[in-house]
Amino acid sequence: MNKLKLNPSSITFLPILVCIPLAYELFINFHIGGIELFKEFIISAINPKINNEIIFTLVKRLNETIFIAFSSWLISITFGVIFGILSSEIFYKILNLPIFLKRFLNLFLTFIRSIHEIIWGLILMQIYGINFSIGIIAICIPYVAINAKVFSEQIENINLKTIESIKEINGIKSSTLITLLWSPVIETFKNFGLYRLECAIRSTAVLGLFGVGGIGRSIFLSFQTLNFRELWTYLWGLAFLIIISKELLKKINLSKTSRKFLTSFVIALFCISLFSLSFFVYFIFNKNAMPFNSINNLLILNFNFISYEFLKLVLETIVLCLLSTGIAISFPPIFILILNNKIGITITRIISFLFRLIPPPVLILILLMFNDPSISLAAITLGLHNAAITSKLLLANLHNQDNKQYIAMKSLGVAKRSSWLFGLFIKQANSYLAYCAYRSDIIIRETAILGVIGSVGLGWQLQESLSSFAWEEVMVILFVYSSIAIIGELINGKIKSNLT
Amino acid sequence: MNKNFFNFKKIAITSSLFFFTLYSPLKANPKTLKIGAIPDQNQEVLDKRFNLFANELSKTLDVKVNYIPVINYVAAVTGFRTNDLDLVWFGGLSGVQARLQTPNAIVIAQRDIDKEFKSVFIVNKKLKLDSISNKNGLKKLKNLKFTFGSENSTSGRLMPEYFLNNAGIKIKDFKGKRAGFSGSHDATIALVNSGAFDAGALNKQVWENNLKNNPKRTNNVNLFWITPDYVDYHWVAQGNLDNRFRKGFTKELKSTILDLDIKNTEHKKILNMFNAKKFIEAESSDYKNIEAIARKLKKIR
Repeated sequence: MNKLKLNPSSITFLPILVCIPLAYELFINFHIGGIELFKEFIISAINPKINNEIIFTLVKRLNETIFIAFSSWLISITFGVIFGILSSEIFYKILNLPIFLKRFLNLFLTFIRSIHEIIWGLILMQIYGINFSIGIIAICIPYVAINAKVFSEQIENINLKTIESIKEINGIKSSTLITLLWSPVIETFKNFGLYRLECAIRSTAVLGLFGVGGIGRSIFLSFQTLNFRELWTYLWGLAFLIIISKELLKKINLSKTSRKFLTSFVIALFCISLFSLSFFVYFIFNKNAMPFNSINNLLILNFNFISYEFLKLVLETIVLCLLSTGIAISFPPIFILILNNKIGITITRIISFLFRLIPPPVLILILLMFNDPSISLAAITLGLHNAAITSKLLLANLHNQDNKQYIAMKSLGVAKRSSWLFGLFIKQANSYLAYCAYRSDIIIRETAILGVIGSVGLGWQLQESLSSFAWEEVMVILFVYSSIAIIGELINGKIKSNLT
Repeated sequence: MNKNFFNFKKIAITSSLFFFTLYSPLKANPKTLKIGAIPDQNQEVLDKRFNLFANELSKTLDVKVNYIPVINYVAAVTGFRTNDLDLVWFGGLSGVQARLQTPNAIVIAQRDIDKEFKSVFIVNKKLKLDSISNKNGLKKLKNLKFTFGSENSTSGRLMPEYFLNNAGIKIKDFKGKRAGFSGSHDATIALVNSGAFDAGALNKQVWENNLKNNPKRTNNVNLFWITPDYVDYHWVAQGNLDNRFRKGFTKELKSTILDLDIKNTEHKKILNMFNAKKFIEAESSDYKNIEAIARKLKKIR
């Protein structure tokens, strides 16, 4: 019998096995008591509330959202590229710097990535009070780290031999760096950076920032009072914004770069970094830290409250992450494999757009109409939301890929699905997995905002400690979150090195 | 020149325009009275309620009044502590938390209904539990799936937990050794109605509102128990307003709120938005009991 070989494509399909325990638990917990509310939710989607007042609010909120999302996107992409280069091996090889600096930087980036932007917002707020900039900075902190990871991974793919040969001919270090890095950075920006704008918009939608609001506050408040018609007005407004911004950005075609464009791009990049840095410095020194009594508390860790119960919560969080990552990895390729025709793909696109649009807390409340709160339910919510995101990237990459092999296989009479699998998907599997690996980081921090309503995992404890202003507990929990993320990172690295 | 470059330029110009138009209103004026509130209603109600209120204050006090929305209870308390909010509509618990973190803060007023606020316990019909007449009956909730509202809500969490504890029920006596936090009163009804949770506790006002306006949402729910009275929402102001605005400002502020009269059409609109007939005097000592309970339940440490 053939042994099952672990290769990138089998690893993308294997995680579907998590569905067995999930389906079992969801099945025994099934109920239909919430059917009325669900009907109301669905009907509201096609019958959102429309009147002068709400349209006025919507436009105002969308304006704020554009501003917040656009500026945090610009800043996080710029610094993402910078930190991405700083945390890639190539950089240290070319400049002959000690490699432990890179490890240190990576650890730091993993730490800030593992904490949800809303938590960053609340922590910053303890020091600087309600301030519009806090919202932007809170989004930027984890986003810079995420972007840095993606960029550095793409930069790592540069062939090391090229560096050696350039070194041999004694090329100038800085220009070597720029020539080598330019094309992967631009490629990644094209494939990934533009899509991050959508993420930033969605993130402002979950955040509902501090002081000014953005559309997130409206979504949050109307959802909280189960005002579904209002909720859908805001959600459709958000959808409209996402689609428009995507279409606008498509117009910037980076592949045909003229010299002038290149120069202006670099200048713009430089200005943005300078502007945001000076803004940050101004922000820190201008607002003198308030009559602040809990800043000391922010630095104290209290491990006393760690008990058996706490460890159980940690375990739950890990299980929740694993299950939802499994769904996020395996659902998209399986879906596309099964529905592999034009209509199927369109349906997949629409469904995944909706799952991306509806914030996870809203999604879990709707799912709770049919099921009891459990880890499985939280996992399926997080999993579906993230699968919608990974599927978008997978579809886009498949679309851009050269499909000669696929057509050749099909014309040789190979079944459509197998030729899709071996002709198209197999080439994407590696980069898809790399993307999913970093998605798992995001899933870890998303458990923080989902745990509460389903009373699952550390998120529950985090909210409880936050709302009691027990900073020493909050710090311990954040420490645990980061540890989980760092361990996850190490495991991901191990798997990756085994694959190559 | 390349056509794409033009596009890029256009985008750069429009985006920087966006930056400037949006950034200007953010500069705060030190002579502005900034009011805030815990976000316990939907957007429309909150905006309408507090903008009307801000207009009225600005008219009678002759200062600029801005309503600054915040996203959650923690943000409201923090905003007050960091002096970013001058006058805040707090719940019982969040008000006490805010006052403990902000020395010199002053309790300004409460509504007539806040003196005798109540919570309700609700259960899913399929459990076939009859309603109870005193707190000891709460023991029937043992080993059920139970949900509170928001973690920092006085009527959706603090007082219900207190009454449960009085009846001898701890959180770990519920199924799964934990209680859920639905996030809001309306969500509590929805979750108990669907059967995701067997029982829950919430603000009595919201419950009655739902019975009247949304009977479909309460189809599968029975009222289990109505709690005794306690004090809830109140206006809290910074202690330095006299210094910042003018002598006697806090007093004027207080009397403006207390003088809102239901016979006056403008005032009636505001009072209706607050579901009240009038605002009445309140003292920080009224909330001593809430503080003691919160300390016992570790919501204040």
